[in-house]
Amino acid sequence: MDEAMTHLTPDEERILKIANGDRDALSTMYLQHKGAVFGFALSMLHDRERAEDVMQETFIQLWNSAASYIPRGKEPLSWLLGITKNLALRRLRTDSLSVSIPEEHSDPADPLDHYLAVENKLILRTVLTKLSEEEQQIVLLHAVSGLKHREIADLLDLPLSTVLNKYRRALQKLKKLLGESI
Amino acid sequence: MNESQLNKRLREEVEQLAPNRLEELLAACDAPPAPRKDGRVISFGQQPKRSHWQRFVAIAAMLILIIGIGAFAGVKGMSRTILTFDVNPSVSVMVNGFNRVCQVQTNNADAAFLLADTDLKGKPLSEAVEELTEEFIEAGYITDAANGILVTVQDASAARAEQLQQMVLSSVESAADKTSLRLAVLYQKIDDDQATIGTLSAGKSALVQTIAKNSKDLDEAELKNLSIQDLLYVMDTLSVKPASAKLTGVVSRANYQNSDVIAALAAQACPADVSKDSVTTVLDCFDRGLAYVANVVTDTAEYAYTVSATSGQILEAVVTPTTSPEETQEPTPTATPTTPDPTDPVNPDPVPSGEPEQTPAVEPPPTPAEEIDNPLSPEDFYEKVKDFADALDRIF
Repeated sequence: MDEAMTHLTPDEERILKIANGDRDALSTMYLQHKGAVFGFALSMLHDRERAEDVMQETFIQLWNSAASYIPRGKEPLSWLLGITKNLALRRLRTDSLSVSIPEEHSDPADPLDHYLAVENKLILRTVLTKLSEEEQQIVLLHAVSGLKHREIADLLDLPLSTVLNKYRRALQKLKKLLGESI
Repeated sequence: MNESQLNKRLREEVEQLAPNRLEELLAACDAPPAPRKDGRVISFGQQPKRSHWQRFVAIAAMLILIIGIGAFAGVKGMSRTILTFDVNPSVSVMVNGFNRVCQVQTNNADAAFLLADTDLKGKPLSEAVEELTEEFIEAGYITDAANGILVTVQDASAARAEQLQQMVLSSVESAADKTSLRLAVLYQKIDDDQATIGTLSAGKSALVQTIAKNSKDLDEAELKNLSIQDLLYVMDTLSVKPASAKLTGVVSRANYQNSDVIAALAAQACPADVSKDSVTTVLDCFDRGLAYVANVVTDTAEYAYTVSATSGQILEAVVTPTTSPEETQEPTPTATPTTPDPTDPVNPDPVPSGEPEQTPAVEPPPTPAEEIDNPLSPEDFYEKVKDFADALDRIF
């Protein structure tokens, strides 16, 4: 007989508990992964407020759809970030269709750049202002979420070799740009 | 700042920026769930009763079927085959009759580190092999220049081994297709009681033994230190593939110097005027790496250059003279001593008696061979080779 059994990771066990209405498990998942989710959303949306909203929506959707998660014995972070990606893409589509109301006190320069400068987030600011869109997503997913390149390739629907090359190039750019300032 | 420091700081910056809106999240999740609709039981009336005899036959038939299926599954599931993947990490997987991985063993520290966060157990073999190959590629163990994988099957019949071979090769190819890499896979079936060399896997041991048996210049003690890529290169160069093995793909030679290049380097380094066509090269091992020994034979000496097969650097140079040195001429006899005259005003200091006057030794005239070739002394030769090796370092 086939004796193989899937061993659940700690996060998968939490998702099963969330499916049964366990709020503590949801809180743990939130506190552990909000940074990864927020960072990825920020790299897709380039707007702090929208990234925060998508971050919240991700965990609400986790709460609502935890029962549909199929455990595979692997960390579910890439599944969670898949939710973030879909929500961010939907947000981008709806925002492009809606009429934007200019804020009275908006900075004419890139608000994200200004925000990150004020918050003194030098490396993140460099990542989000100097790298290409794909490079930003790959670097943030690897550095903040800890995803492997293969998982990043699956999430972003890119060939693995593309992910490896872009990551290497992004690191070289960052080291060059940040070299003098650190 | 290195990569890990950069990533760490980036992670910290993002974590500091990410807001904590947990209370808001929990409030949003506290909305009451939508009410469920109550089910109604619909009766279809009474079911006709079965006779006891019919019920007994049905149960017996079901039991026979269940036992039969269980026995078949048990036998099939119990059969175990071991597949070992050597790249330089070495991973063994045990596969049951349903082609599912039931056990995973990492055979060295590299493999343990590689699979620290990956669990292949329980997966279909094809999925496990594809994932394993992707791990090798992602971690940089398989590249354009180091494209070889050794796959070894044990505890399997010939038919089973062939069935698994198709599955393994297809999965490896699927993983490689996601990149631009072209892999070389050596698939071999070995005996269950294959002897291992030191801490090498059974598969790598078998490959080492095959090469050693078919090579005049390489022995097991040297070969066991080589990487899988080196071993595949040697196997390919010497055409000594194990009889039961099948090679799919082309072993990359990108990391290795061509034997013509090695011969040219040796010809240049040799103080005698020789062409590269007169240089013979032989594969060898040197200091746990792959090397060529390039031999040059002249009228007066044999030169053996050990050259790194990867960098082309001359690692060692040995010269062996082939002719014996000419004997030197004896010095001319000294003058006969005379009794000094104490009254001689010219030479008041007489030569002490008993000590013959020494005349300077006469250097032997050069032999005809030395006049033409004038070979260097071993020390001068080594200095010259060293200078040449330094020049090569600057170039390469």
